[in-house]
Amino acid sequence: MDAEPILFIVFGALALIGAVAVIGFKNPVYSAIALIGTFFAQAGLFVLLGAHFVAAVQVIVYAGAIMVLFLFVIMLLNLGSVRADQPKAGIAKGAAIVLGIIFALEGVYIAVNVSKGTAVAQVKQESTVGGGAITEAQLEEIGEIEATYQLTRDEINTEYVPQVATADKTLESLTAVEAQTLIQTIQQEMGKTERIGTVLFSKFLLPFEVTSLILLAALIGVIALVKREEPKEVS
Amino acid sequence: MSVNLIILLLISPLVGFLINGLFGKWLRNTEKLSGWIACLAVLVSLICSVIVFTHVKGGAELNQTLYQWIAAESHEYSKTELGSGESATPLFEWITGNFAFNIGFHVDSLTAVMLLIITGIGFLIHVYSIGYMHGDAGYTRYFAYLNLFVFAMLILVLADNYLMMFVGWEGVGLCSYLLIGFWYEKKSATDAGKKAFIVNRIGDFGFLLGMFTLFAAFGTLDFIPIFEQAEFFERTESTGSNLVFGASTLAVATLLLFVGAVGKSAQIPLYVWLPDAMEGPTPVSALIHAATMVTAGVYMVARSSVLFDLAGTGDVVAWIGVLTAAFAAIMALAANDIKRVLAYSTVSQLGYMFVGVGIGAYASGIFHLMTHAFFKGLMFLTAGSVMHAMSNELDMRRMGGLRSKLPITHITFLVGALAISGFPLLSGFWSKDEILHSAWEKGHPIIYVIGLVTAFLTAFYMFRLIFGTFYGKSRVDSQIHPHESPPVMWVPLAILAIPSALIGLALLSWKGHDSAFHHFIGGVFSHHGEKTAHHADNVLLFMAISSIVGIAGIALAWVKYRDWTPLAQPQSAIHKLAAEKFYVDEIYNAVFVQPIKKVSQFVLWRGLDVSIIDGTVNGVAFVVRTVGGSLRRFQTGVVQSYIVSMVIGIIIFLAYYLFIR
Amino acid sequence: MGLEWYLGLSALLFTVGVVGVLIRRNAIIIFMCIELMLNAANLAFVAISRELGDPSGQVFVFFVMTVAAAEVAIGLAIIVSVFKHRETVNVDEVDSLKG
Repeated sequence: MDAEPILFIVFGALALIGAVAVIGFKNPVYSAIALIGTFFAQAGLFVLLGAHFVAAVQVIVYAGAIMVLFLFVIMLLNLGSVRADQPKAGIAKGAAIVLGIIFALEGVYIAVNVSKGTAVAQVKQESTVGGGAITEAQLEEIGEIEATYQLTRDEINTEYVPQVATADKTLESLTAVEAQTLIQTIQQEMGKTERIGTVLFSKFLLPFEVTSLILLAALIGVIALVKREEPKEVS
Repeated sequence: MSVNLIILLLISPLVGFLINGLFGKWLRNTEKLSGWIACLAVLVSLICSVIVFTHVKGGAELNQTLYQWIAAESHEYSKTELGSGESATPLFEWITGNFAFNIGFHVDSLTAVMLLIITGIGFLIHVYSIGYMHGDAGYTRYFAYLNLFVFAMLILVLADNYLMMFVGWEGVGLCSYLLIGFWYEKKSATDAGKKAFIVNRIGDFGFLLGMFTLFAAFGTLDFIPIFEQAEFFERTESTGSNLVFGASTLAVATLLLFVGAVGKSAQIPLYVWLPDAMEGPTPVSALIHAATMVTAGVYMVARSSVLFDLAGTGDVVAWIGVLTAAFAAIMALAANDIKRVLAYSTVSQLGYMFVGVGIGAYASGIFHLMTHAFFKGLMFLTAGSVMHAMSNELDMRRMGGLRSKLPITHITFLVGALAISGFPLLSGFWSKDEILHSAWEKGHPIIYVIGLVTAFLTAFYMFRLIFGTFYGKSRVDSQIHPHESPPVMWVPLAILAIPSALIGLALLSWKGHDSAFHHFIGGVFSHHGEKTAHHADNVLLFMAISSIVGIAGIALAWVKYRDWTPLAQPQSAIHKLAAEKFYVDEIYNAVFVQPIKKVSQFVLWRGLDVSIIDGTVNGVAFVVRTVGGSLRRFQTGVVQSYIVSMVIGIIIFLAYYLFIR
Repeated sequence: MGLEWYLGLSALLFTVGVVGVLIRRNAIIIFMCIELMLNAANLAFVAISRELGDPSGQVFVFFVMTVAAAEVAIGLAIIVSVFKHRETVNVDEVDSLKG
């Protein structure tokens, strides 16, 4: 039996409970800890989705760095006591929850329908069709994969083709079913750090550099914001 | 004669204007230099004009119908029986496309005469101004304006199309405005300037409409094509039947053009600005408001002689002219300000010129224009000399007996007065007599009689002026010590006196009306209404009548004003009426100015401006303020309320895309 | 597990974040709720990325995290300076933008 549904339910429940706890606790320290729990649970979900690198970053950056920053500020400002946060009035709270329910319903509606008639479903459906020799579409897709991950045809022949067929076969002599498996195999590995790194530094090089600039700007901005202002000389 | 000569002639005053106008600040310390630069600029133009004149005259003496065209740049319409002399081609085209207006010159004998008048008298007045304006704070500004005026006036007479003529027309109007209001610290001067400008605007509006009409009918504004087409239609008898062009169209066009002339040349009903224009410096009055600018209307009518003849609107011109002549003469009788007397006299004489061009005696009209330019310019300058001597006193009731103090001024003024009064053999005698004679011959006896009466009045008020100013007992304020003007002023006077007296003789030969001047200039004009047979035998009779009338006027003035003791109040009702200028200003004020002010105040200001325009603006502001005032309640400053709105918005959009679309 | 489960979970988490932003007045907790929403979006990204076999979704998550880190740094700095001036982190009391 596949472990994924069970794990999904466990991690999903944990994430939801954590999220509700974040907005439920009066003490911000508790909220922060609950949020850390949610982040861990989400990291588990990422692993389930095969996104190992993202899961690692989630733990390191979010649960590690960002939440430490939150806690640090909470402590710094001594906000651990309740006084900072009286709950909202009942009507406002009720209205917000009603809005939230409508919002959630719409979101779930989208989630259900997306898998049915949308582009995602169509793509999936096309890719499962197979029979006979490898098709032109599959070859094309493999070509795209090669370009995306900077793989050579030799690498595919030596590393991946043996995983799905007998060793004497090459890519071109695969059947359609075998080719489909091959594609899925490679795609499942895309969460690997190596794959992400390849994509990040080839296709997304420019956004990556821009992101570094954003971080630099944030750094400078933070320093400027919290810098203690020198009392001005009154002349 | 080349185009370059014309260009030099034209550009020289412009250069003078630019030097004085742009660098006047640095020239101010060397006042004389500034004045002499201006004089030099006009002198160059004068020399060019003389050369042009000799060229044109040379063509005329040969008495050939072949004209000197510039072959290389020949005008499209060069071969024409109209216009003697020369038409240079367009310098460049203003507007290309379906229609083209050219900057071009048309030089014929009429132009040559006008050039000589403008530059010749202009030069003398420039020289005179050096003395007259000595020590004035706006010395360089004055000469800059004066040069600009000469430039604009030259454009006006050199133009070969109505549009370019209009440019000059407006240019001289501008300079007139600037120079009338030259002493802008004086309220009366600025008021007079504005009055002149606004009244001229009415006339110019007519001129513009006239141009539009001509363009609509002919598709061009060039003189020669228009005249040729008009004559062509006339010959082919298609007038009236043609939709685009008909006799009525032409009548409308010429009458509209004449409205422009009425404004510029101060005829009834638009003459009111000219007497007030005497607020300007006296040489300006002499140059602009006697010799040149005010005659632009006459020039324009003469230039358009073909159109006026074909349209048959000359009678209107003549009647307006003769009525103005008489009316202005009556007002001159009662005026005591010497410059005003001269101003009314100018209006009156301009009326004579319009009689001349109106009845079809174009050459006579232009001849009178020329003689008048000399003697009236002369008289204004002598009036300036009197003012100079009398510390700007203008009222002749406080003068008298100046003959001994100002001998040269007296003699020159006397020459001018005799000339204008039609004293035999002096210039005014010839030109005025010619106009009257033509009026009789062409079948306008009433005009002739009114003209004759006006001539009598002219002689009378002129010698009233002479006797009041130079003769009798001195009524001069004891604090004023009259003295003769410096040579720089009296020399131009003396020079001007000579042509004022003799130009008539010089230009007329005793061959009946077929005089040298007519011969020279006559080819320019239309010959439609002209009667071929002249009754040379009665010429002497008419001359005799004119002489007697003139001398009678002088005699009456001698009887009445020889030893004048002015009364404080006018005696008779008609005298009072004339002294108050027939209340024309007041009538205009009541009939036109006040209603316009009321309309402006109540309809345009209170009605349109305040309620509609301001109302719109304020209404927009009010709506924005009200809406903003109610919208500001949403701006609670609490971030979460904004987020609530955002979430609601997101929900609505999602719902729209999910369930409705 | 199909895509719809992950997307549904993502929608629920996002909604919890939205509700948190709406009902809490503590600026720091509001911030945490914003992080929650970002994470929900990340989850959707990764899920769809797997579905399409396209690594771009995961790269986007990486960028989102980076931007979130920058945003948190600045946001917390703002909160600190607001607290320095007003002695409060209650967003109801910070209404200088009131029109």
